[in-house]
Amino acid sequence: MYSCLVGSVLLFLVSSFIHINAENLEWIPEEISTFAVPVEVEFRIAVVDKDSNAIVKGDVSFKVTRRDDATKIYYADLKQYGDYYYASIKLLPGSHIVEITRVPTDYDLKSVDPNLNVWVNGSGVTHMSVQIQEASKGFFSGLIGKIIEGFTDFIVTPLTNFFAPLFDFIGGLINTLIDGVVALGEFIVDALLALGKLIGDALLALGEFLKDLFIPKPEEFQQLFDNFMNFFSEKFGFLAYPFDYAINMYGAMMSGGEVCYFELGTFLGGPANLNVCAIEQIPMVMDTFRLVLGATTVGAMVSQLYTKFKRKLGSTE
Amino acid sequence: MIVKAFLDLVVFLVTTVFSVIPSLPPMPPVIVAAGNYGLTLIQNGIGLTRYMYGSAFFTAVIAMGLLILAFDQVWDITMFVLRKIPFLNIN
Repeated sequence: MYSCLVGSVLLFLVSSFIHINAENLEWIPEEISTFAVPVEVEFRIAVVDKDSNAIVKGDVSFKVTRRDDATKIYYADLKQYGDYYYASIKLLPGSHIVEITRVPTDYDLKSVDPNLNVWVNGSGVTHMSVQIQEASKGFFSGLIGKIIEGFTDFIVTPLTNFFAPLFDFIGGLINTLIDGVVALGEFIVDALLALGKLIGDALLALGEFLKDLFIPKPEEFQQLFDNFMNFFSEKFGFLAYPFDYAINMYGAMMSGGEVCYFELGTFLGGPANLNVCAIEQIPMVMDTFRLVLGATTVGAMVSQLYTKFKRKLGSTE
Repeated sequence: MIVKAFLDLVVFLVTTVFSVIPSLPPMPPVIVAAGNYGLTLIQNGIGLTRYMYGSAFFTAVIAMGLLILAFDQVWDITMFVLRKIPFLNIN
């Protein structure tokens, strides 16, 4: 971006020194120059007077810039040869633009080489477009070209036509083999994973079996106990009643919920109920009551434990 | 499975042995009704106590009460175990 900006500024400055006569602007016929590769291109540019359009001589010099894909810049000074100036640079096949960045004042430029495309455009920027193709100029160049062409036609192309399907077949075969190997690998991985899962499940099942083998499940044990107690309750009748009563009381103590209302029965011809649920409506009283009750209970228990400890430790107090 | 099979066998043997003797009469319904009434009262009383204490604190009180009731037995068992540890040197 920066180089482009600098180039634009440079071309603008150069253009200020170029006096362009519109009548002198011309397109050299679009004749593509063909050279050997690589080639030493000699291009000649004449300096013409803007008024008489005559080729003039003078002690002038030019700076020629060749750009290859805007990546490299080469410089070559135009050398005076008779009525024109020339420079020679090596160009590789491809499109090239040769910029003439320094020109004499009050002079116009025109190409004197019909084989080169030289365009003096209206913006004052002087370009020379050169298209380099395969060599066909000269006997040896043509011979080399013919040899290369014959080599290509009679050897390279048949070999390519013969080996290309073969290579395609081999490539397809290799791809098929690779796909097969990949599929086989995926199958092996899946099989190993499945085997590992199978072994894991088998170990878990074995552990579960061993656990069931020695440790009865709580529900089975409970069912066995219930059946046993039912049998003895029926068999021993009234003798088993105290045991059933104790078991029921234990169940009531362990599994009962909080109760704030219950029926006491019938007294004096009417139901007698106990209801303390209303105490919840006064949290201050309820919390205070629970605090006092809990503190009293804990205090009594701690006192009882303290007494028992003292007795066990042989204290006389 | 083995333990359950063993227990099933024991239950089967016991029930088989006791099956040959006649069943005793059940408790009279009046006594059963009175017992159920008392059991209901006890259950409701425990529920009321649980309500007063709160369930969590009630459970702690029950556990503490059982510990106090069985203090002597728990003490003896604990000291029996501790005396077996040589470096504690408890006599």
